[in-house]
Amino acid sequence: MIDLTTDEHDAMLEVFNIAIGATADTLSQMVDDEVTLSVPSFEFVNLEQLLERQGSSADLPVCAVSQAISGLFHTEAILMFEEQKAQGVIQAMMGEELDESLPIEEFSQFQQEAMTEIGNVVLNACMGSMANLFEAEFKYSLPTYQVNSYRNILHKKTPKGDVVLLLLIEFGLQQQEIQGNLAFLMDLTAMENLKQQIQILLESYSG
Amino acid sequence: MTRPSQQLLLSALEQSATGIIIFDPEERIQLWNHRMVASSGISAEQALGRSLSDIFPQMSNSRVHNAILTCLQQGFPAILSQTLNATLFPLVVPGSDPELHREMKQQVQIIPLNMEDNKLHCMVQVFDITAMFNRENYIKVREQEFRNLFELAATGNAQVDYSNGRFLRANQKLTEITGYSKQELLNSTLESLLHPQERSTFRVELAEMVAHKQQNYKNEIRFKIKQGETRWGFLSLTIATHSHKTLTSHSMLLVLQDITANKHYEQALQRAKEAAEANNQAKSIFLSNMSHELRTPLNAILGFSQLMARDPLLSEEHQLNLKTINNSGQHLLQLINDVLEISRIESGKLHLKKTAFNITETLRSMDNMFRIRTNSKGLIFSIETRSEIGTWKMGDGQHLAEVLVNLLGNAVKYTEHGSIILLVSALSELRLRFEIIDTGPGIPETDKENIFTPFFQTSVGINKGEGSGLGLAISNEYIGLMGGQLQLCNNPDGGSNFFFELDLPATHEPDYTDSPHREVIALSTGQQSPRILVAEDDPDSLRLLLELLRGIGFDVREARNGEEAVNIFKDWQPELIWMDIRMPVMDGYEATRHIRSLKGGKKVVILALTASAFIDDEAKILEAGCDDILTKPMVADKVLDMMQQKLDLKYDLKPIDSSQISNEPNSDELRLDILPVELVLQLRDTLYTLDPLLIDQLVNEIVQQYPKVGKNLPKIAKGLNYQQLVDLCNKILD
Repeated sequence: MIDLTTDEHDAMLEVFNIAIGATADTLSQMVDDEVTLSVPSFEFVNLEQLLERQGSSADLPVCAVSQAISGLFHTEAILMFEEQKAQGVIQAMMGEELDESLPIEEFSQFQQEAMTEIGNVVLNACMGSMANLFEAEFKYSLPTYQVNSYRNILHKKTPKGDVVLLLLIEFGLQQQEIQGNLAFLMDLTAMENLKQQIQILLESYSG
Repeated sequence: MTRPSQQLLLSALEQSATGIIIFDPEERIQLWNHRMVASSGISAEQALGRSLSDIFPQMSNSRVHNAILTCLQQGFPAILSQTLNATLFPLVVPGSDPELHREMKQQVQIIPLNMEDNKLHCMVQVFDITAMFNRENYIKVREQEFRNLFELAATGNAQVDYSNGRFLRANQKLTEITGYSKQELLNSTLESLLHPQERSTFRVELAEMVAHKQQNYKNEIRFKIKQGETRWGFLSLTIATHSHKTLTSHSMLLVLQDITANKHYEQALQRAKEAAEANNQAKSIFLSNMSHELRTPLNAILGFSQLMARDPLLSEEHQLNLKTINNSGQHLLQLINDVLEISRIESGKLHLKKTAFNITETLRSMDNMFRIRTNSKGLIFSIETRSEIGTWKMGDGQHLAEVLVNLLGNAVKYTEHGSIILLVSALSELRLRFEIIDTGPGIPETDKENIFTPFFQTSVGINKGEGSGLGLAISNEYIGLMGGQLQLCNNPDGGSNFFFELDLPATHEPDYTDSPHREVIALSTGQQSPRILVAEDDPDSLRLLLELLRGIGFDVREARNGEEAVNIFKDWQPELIWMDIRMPVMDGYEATRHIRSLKGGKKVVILALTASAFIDDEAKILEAGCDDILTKPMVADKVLDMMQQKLDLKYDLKPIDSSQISNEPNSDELRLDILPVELVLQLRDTLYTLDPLLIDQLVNEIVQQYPKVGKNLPKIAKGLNYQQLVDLCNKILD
């Protein structure tokens, strides 16, 4: 598990916020309306602990867009929204009234595509800023869209015992605040790599 | 495994149904496949080696362009959707009509390609989603249409889960009707919306609907709105089955209308109706009382004033006063009779009797009745017929005669000089037209409209100070009931002309010999003499019944009121009771109920006697426990028939004298001379009233009491030959 000092934590948070701030501009242009994005918090957490904490809500369906990332370290980046939040995002981004009872399993092809594109933009931005930060190059797969339970999505993507870098992401869309989760699933090697990079980064700051 | 040759891979890319572009690290186009050529109209030669902005200057700095550059620089893949990007590549659907130039809807994928030199290339794939996009848009528009129909409806609409009654969706109007927001409705069930007292019934009815495979539920039902108020709704539920391919779902379409206002209105109407009916009932009771209570003393007043007037010792002044008393009494009696008659008509209790009648006889009786009065006023009176009007007609001759009496009476009353003509013309075999033409003052144009309204009187009538203003109204109602219309026009030379037309089918002379005609003289020998109790407070009626029954051989006892009747019943246990309904101390209703509750009270036959002019008392009488009802005035035959029927009696009958029956009625055979002088006097004075009801009643009483007077008396009276009878009375009195 990664223990971060307050300095390390704050530095990371700033990095994420800069990256995601740039994304907001892109989304604003896309929907021709002001979109704000922020990362209020992040944490490193053991996958099993995370699921335990979620309790029964871990079995509710979520809407997920994921990309596999390789390079300096291997990770799977997943942007996830709970059912109602996903409806809110679609509604705000596509500018259409959604049927009150439309379950996320029933999203149309276009709603899925729009969701995928939004996820892609957010994920690219976050990874881009990390790549810049660590002065490293990553390879990215095309985003994939899926609806499944929180538990299944995380389990499928990672071997047991692994660690999740979990970012809380807040979208400000048309006077609504919509929260989503951005999870980076990492194995121990990836985590070690990340930890090293953070230390290098902090040394360069202090030096 | 051998790798596919470069030639093969290149060919695959070139022939792909997806538009493919490959950029080198300097953003120069390396591949522009056939699909791109076909959809852009730009040949490979034109595209290769050039940048995106060279080919599509309008795309420079677009999201697609930026994504390609980011991909080349940082290796980011991207997906760009048509939904979030109005314009992607300026392409058309290949093969579409060039005139239409259909814009291609796309999904664009940008994929980084890592080459051996570690330089990033970029592959752009353009998927044609036009058909799907259009289809989706079409569905969206149609869906919006239906949503609007649902949402904008003026009724509260909702979709309800078939299995648990939860709201699946609700429209704006339903939120207005119920006071709940959409979200609140979606969190609740239909049943929770209903008034608690309606829920169990609703559940049962709904289950029945499902059990009987019915598709619809419709009912007026109470529901509670959020503010707590109970309201009335018209609720309709329809089961809707939605199925497409393998997917089937059931739900209920709910339509709710707030009908509280209608309901209140309906209840107010109901209350008003009940109040009106109660008032009407009260009126009927009042009139019934009046008929009973007023006519009797009035008859006494008239009878005695007429007796007194015969006293030669009376001064002229007193004679004059008596005449005034008598005239006023006559007027009052006529008024009461008319009021009763009009109320009987208005309450629909008057029913016409269609029998064979002799119209020639009817006209002759008019002549008899009015000849003296017209002569004394110096008027010319004639009854004329045009075409062959026939003799025997099927219809209500009595009521027709009453109308004619009324109209002729008016004519005589108001005409001072000239003539009165009753003209009857046959318009066809069926239809007769009656006209009463006088040379009186006529009816003012302004009064014509109101002349048939009850209690309306013309100024001439008011000045005369006579009549009730009901005669014409009654006549009009009679004619209406007979299927005609009483009309009026003024004659050009003054005077009025009342006329009406009636369908009176011709018929044969009725065969009197066929009618059952018998006279009971005694109970058959061997027949046990039944115990009969007569409960009657009116001494005359009592005496009549007692004499009749004892004469036949019944064992009869009398009671003067209900209480006495009950006591006698306890001691004597009669087999049959004649029960007058109106009696002092205890009335017939109570006495009957009481007797029925006593030992043996179930077995005894109780026959009610009533003078009520109103039929609606009947139900009340039977409800009290009487077996049957006889309406006064009593007719001996009916009394005996009813008793025979109820007690299964055998009578000895008087042998029929056929010669007597076959003879035409002849007034000379009447033996009015056998009657006491007072009775003849009473008969004459009653005849003067021209009230058929009173006359019939008296005539019946006379015949019962003095059978020797002759059976023709009632017939003559029924035929309205009053003048004939008056003449006879006068002959005896003189």
